[in-house]
Amino acid sequence: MEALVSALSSLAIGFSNISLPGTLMLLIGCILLYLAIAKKIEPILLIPIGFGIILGNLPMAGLSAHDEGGIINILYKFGILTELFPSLLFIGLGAMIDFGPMLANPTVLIFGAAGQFGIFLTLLLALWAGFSRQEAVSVAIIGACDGPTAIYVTSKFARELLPAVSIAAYSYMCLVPIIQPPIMRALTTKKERATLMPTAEKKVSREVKIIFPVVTGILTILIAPMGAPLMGMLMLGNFMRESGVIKGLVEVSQETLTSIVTLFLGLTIGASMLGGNFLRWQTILVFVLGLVAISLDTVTGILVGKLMYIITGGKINPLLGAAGTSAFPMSARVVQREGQKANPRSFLLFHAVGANTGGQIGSVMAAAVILAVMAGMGIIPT
Amino acid sequence: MTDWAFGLTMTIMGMGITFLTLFLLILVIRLMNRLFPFKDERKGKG
Repeated sequence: MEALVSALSSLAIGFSNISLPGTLMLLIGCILLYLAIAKKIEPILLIPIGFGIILGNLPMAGLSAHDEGGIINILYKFGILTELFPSLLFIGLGAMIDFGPMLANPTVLIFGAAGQFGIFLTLLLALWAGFSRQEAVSVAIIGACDGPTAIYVTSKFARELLPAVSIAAYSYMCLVPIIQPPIMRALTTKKERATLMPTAEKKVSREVKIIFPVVTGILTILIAPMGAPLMGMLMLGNFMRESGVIKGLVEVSQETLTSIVTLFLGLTIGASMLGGNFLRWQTILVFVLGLVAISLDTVTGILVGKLMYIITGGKINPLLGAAGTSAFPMSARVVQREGQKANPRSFLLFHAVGANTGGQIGSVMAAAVILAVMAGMGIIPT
Repeated sequence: MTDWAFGLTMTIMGMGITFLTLFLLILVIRLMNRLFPFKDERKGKG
């Protein structure tokens, strides 16, 4: 009889260990799953994250990212702590991006640089808000508008913030069509937004498209070697795409590799969101500062766009500055839409895509410089 | 170094090097476009 009671009690042990924060996280996980399926909001991300939250917060299950020896812990150590997953994602990203519009008009790279200013302004705000230096950098990198870059930097500096930073980075990328337009309209006049730019798409030679990833990889990695995993993988993916001789590998990189890594990434991040760590005021602050970072990116991009408008005598539409973020292709589409609202004859998409892809390079470069400077200061090992 | 000095150093160096690098890339790309201009294959025929 005693043995029977003892056996039965071990079956119900999860119920006796459930906590309020854990229960709240189960609810949050279910909400994310609902948003993914019913509202179709980024299902490829929200489903693994939402399910990961549920699995990670079930007591005694051993499935959180921090339960030593558990299957999700193994994935977490293998892919997140080693920064492997974000690097692999960049292969897929590079294989998807066409740098042609940017190569045809390389001046738009200026917007790619300007669009990263929000990262550093937010760094100052995060320090003022009381975050440590490592935490402040991790929060500020949300302004890179790039999930893998944010995960890469945060996993080096402030792993405890990884869930909040990851969710914020990916969420705000999707919200760019809501965040950017009011800022764009507030900082520009209708006359400026209505500026027409050449509609004929300029082409570049195949040689330039092939040489570009090699040259860019070498140049940027020599300047900031700590960004080598991200920039190297981005350029590898792009070189594979432009080589034209390994279509099978390119397709796998674009689809299969990206999907598998996204699945594991989402699952491990979700399973690392434990109630005790996630449900804090600090998490709300991360989300607020992340929103500020992306807004400031747009502000500084537009201001540089206005400067270019003045310098060129009205030839460059200042809206292009908003496309200098790394939120590809959302920002480019937003610029196209706002340009056409001001002038139905305006077609900015080609130029905006160029600025947007430039922003991708700019964001990785900004992250690489941050890593290099932090290593130089001895805050992280080289 | 105070937090303010740290933040300012990061901002100046971060934005400075990012701008400089992308400016160098602009020059390199322009050079590449001059060395390997786009040739319209349709003009080459007939």
